[in-house]
Amino acid sequence: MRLPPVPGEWIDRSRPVQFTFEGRAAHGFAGDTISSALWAQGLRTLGRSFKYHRPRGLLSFANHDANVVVQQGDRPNIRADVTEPEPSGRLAAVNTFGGLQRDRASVLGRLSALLPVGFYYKAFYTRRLFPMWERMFRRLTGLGRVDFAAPRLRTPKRYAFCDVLVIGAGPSGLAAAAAAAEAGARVVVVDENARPGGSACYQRAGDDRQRQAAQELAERLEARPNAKLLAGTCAAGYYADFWVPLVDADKLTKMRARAVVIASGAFEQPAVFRNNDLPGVMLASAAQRLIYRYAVQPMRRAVVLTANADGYRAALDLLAAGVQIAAVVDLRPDFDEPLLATLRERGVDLLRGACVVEAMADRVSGALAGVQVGPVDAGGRAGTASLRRIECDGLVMSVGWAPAANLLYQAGATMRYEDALGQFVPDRLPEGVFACGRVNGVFGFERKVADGRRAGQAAAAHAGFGHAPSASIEREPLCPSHAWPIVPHRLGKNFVDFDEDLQLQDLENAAREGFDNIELLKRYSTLGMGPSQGKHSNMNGLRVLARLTGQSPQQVGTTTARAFFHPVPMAHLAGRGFVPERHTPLHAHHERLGAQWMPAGVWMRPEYYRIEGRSRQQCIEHEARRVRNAVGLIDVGTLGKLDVRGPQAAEFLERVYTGRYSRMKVGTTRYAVMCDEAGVLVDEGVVARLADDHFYFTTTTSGAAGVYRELSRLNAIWQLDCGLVNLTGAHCAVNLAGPRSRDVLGPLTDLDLAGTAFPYLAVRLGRVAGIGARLMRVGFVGEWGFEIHVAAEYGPALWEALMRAGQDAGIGPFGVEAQRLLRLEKGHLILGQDSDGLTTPLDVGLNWAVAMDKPFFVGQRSLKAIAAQPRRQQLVPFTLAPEHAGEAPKECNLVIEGGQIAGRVTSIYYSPHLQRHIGLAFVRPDLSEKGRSFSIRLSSGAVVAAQVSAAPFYDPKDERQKEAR
Amino acid sequence: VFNRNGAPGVKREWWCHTPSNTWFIAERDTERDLVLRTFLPRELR
Repeated sequence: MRLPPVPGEWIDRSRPVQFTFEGRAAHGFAGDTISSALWAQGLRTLGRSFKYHRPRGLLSFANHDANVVVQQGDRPNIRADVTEPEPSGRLAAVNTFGGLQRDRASVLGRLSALLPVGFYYKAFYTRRLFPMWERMFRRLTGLGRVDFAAPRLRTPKRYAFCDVLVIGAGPSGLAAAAAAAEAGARVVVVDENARPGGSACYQRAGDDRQRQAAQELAERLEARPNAKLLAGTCAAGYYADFWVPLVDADKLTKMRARAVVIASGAFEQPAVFRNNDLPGVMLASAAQRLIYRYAVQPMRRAVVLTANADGYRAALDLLAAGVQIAAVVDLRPDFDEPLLATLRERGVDLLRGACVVEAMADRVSGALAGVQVGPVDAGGRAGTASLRRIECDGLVMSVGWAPAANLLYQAGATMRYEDALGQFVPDRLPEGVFACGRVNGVFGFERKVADGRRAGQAAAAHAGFGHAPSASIEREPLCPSHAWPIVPHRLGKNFVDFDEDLQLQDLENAAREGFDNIELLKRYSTLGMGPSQGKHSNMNGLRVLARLTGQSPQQVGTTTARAFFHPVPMAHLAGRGFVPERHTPLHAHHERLGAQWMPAGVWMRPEYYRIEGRSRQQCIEHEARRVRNAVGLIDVGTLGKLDVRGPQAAEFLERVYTGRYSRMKVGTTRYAVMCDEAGVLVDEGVVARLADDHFYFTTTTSGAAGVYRELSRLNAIWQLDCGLVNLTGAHCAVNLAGPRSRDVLGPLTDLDLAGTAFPYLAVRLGRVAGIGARLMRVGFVGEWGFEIHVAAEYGPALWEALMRAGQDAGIGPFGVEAQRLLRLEKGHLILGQDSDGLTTPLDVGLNWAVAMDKPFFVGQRSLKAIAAQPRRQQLVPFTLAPEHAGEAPKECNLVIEGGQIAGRVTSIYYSPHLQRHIGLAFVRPDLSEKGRSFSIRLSSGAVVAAQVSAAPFYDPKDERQKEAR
Repeated sequence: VFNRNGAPGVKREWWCHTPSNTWFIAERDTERDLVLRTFLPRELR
């Protein structure tokens, strides 16, 4: 039933919302939650429990109530206790068979004796039957239905910074934020609830003054320019160095603070007695939230089960909402309660030292119809004699609190169990992290505000604003939490964990079976592993285990509090695939020429250029043939390009590369191989000497960034007198290759291109088409060729000039695939394709490039050790028979010898020039002799014979790179 | 070559600030998760 307007209510009565629940029309107001709207209509069974499918209503109604979880279309597991109903939304309870009201699976409740604790583990023993159990449980238990066709949601991520982050906008959090802001700190205060104020707004004891005070605090705070209040935002975890993910409905904000105040409050805890899960049995704070946030009368006639002052305050709130109070049942035999007199005046019946032993269900509706109340002895044990039945349609429980200390644990705080409070409180806090309010064991409103101010000032001081106060707050005069709010019952169904349907006897049995450590108990019984993650079950579970094992709660300890503290939508967590992609200055030219793109390291390179009506293979062969017969042009701007200058530049290269560089003549280039400390081949390139103290060298495309970083590190260690400049992005480079390359280049430059003036492996500085260039005679593809390096901004002009000049010679571009084919014909290897993370230069026949007698190079010591051992593998060139037709070997097909793996193919192509398949393969050393045959197993399983050949396959004497005319 | 002592304690580590390609050395207490000191390699001499 909806109450007349309540001051501070969250609903907007001028905006009704219509929706359907389980196929029936329902209505509420804007600002309602799904649960409050349904409860206001008189519905009591709102969900079914996880295992036994028992009818459930509201329990905590505090953002972690797993009793009522609903599905809307493809959105599973909507928390009805905090989610606003959407207009025309179609909602249904999750995990029911045949609807919420007549759930056929509720028969499981009667079979519970056959489903003992640890059933999963016990069922594992019989491997034959396990699949059956698994199928059954997957059907019967669980939450919402995941729609695999649901569209993918993308949510934004934000970064934010502040001096003091306050988590929780209740009285203590607001006071802390105000104090920190007054000290001058930039403050952000977050609260998971839709509005600030916390318990001050609903634990009113029939009096509105505290709510007004809290609201005033919030308003004053929001008026400050250096404070920000974020409602509906959950601090989902705590990470090192004050880093806290803030989760709201739309996004994740990564907040970095200088100090953090945790004012997260406490979770009210249920009492454990038979049928404590009937719809109508709820926590006192749930009833108070119903009244003051949503103006819903929680019940008509209530019994209040309590063991602290909060229960009396709740009783006054119920009276204010027109609820008749049948009795206040207090677990404590004697106590000094200031509010008692007020309640007595209003004619409320009080039962001291008594307890609810069992809740009774209405036969028709299944909701609460009455309770059985019995006495409690001095040791806190409930007797079952002299039970008294009290009729009621609601039972509110206020027997204790558990601190919402998850973030404190994650921050590294140590907690101490305080007997006088019946609660864990922070013992030692990490530097810069502060706690106040209920999580700190402070309960009264005025005291919470004072504790908040203390923490806020201390946090501001830690962030460098103002001074930390010296005063501390005295502890609570009355204990807010009862040490044993638990009543055993021989018929069970006294639930400790509502999410997972765990009864008291389940925990007793688990402990008896040997799982008597809190972490083991959790995993065996699944205590605290449901959607609310133990927020209203861990404390009672801990009390049960402490009593069973004769330990104190401190000795039992708590389970690890892991992030995230609260479920976070997957869309908030999913990162975006961020793969940077680099383009050379010639990208647009390739695009116009019909490039088929392929990734190479972080770069995009043309794999080949498409020609209308021709296959990929035909295009590649066409490009290769053009290089062999005329002239081709390839963009090699993706190679790493580095300059090293200084008196010790040559010494530097001597140390990082395996070859010799100090005696190189100016104007020459040399092939260079780089190893890591283990002697593994990590990079290769060409070193060119431009002056005595100036070298220019290239690295592989994928190695560029890593080589530059590693060389910088090495010189930071060696401190040689030379400097390294990364020109990879600043330079554009092309390779002009083919028998007619000189005809193309000649008219564009003043350089003498004759073989004597510009021999193979020489480097020259000059101008090409008026552009300053570094030219190198290279032979990677096995033809007369020039690598031309120019400033990146002139790359397009160079490309266009060469293409124009080469028209008569039949110039055309060639891509990476054609280049790979051409280099294979010359027997050149490609790092990372023909080598792997264990390959040394000795395995691939690069011994000639390794000067073992130098004083030092990186990897030399390891190579010496490796050279002394027998080779395990050798890279060899091989050919297939020219008449081979049909399926060809693929890269990574295995070499099989005598039924054993004896190697693998690393590169293979059909060579149009040689009219046969050629390739490179790693083989056992005994198979590496020239002329030796070995067999390769194809992907289909068939075997083909190959023969070790000699490299280069094409032009073995390099005639084509020498002066022939 | 690969013999590194991973026992918790004060470690001297090489870090690289990639935007400026600056290598620096951090003395870090891996037991207490604290950075004690950072400095440039040339100060090692």
